[in-house]
Amino acid sequence: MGGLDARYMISRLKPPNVDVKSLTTIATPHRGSAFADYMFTRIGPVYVPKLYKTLEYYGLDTGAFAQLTRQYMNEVFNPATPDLDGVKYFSYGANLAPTKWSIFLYSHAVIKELEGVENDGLVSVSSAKWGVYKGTLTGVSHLDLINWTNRVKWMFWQLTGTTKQVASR
Amino acid sequence: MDVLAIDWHYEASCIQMKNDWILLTMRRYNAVAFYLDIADMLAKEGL
Repeated sequence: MGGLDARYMISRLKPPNVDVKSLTTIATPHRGSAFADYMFTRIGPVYVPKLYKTLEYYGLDTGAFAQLTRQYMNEVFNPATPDLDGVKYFSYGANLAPTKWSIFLYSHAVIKELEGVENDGLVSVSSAKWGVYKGTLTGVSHLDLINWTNRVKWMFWQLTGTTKQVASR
Repeated sequence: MDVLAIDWHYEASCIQMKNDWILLTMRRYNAVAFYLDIADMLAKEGL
């Protein structure tokens, strides 16, 4: 979603003290996510606020989630946020073959069924394409991409008494 | 006489779990290396 924030900044906020040459997005849901559609249609408007409350209790921001539906992205966000002339846009996507222990097992299957394409557990490859598409990372989840998986591993190692080796002098 | 009963379903699921765990821990995606590769790509694009 950082990619959408960046597009919004370049196209609409246009801060005068920033000269943007290019934007590279990684698994950004430029055309929305079928999993967001699924959440809103299947879980329904009654339970979504309860889910939000739970997520927010754990410190997770949910404000923009409703704007990740394919309809909102294609009919509202993208028309209102055109690419800026003079800025080069690059993008990468990712796909994952989740193991049965993966937290993305369910969401991956939902997106695969609804969009019929490879995805990283939250964003499909076709939704991630924007500007010049530079390629698809394979076997990488959405959390891997933002380095969360490694952070969790480091946290686990620290709990077991292993200290992270950092080359700093 | 002692009879050694082997629960093959249990054995198979243990092997499967072990394989999954190995796959999980063996995955070596390096986010920093990927970011550096993007920097390289941008340099080649003249940016």
